[in-house]
Amino acid sequence: MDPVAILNLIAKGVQVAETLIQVGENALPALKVIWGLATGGAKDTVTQEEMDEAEATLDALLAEFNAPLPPDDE
Amino acid sequence: MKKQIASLAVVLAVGLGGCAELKKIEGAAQLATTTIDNPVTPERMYEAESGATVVVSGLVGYRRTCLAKPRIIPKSCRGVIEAIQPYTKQAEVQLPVLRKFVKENDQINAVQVYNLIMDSVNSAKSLMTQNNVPIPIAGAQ
Repeated sequence: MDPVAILNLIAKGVQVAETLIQVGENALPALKVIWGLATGGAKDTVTQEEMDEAEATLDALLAEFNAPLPPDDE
Repeated sequence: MKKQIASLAVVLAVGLGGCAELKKIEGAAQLATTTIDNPVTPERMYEAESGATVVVSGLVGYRRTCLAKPRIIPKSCRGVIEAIQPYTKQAEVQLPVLRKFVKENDQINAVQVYNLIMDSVNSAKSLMTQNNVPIPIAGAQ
């Protein structure tokens, strides 16, 4: 593996985690997904529990991003 | 301290994962479309949903940063979010449909909906790249 690619991945992961932390939010869901993919991505079998957790995480993230933006008070 | 722990967690995840796993991560984030010859199994759907989660995590981070008070980034970020939302809303609506088809092993419909979702997420990814919205995967941009 190209060391530059590894450094890019680390940098981007840190960048997103830091962005979330800077605005006082919990970066755990994103970190868990990155961790899961790094340690067990492309699995041959998936348990129902893992499926349920993955679906719940994605649904929650989509719901947050898709919510209407609050009025801009500036 | 919190920042250091989070940064360390990402570095550890990558470090422990190694090169083979990095390729899996990049593969999961590619979000390619499929054909009826390549059915949407629960494992395949799990992999795609994990890849989509990484992409949407980046979007949520961007939205939170955009709405932070005091302002951290220019308010033009609101326009970027509104431009991406039609695609993510499409994915949000279609995901439950896909899960139902996969559960029932209705592959004809599952493949169609899967491809629709992948197209939506990939369109969102393209807009993210164009607007410098961070995606936490090296090969995802």
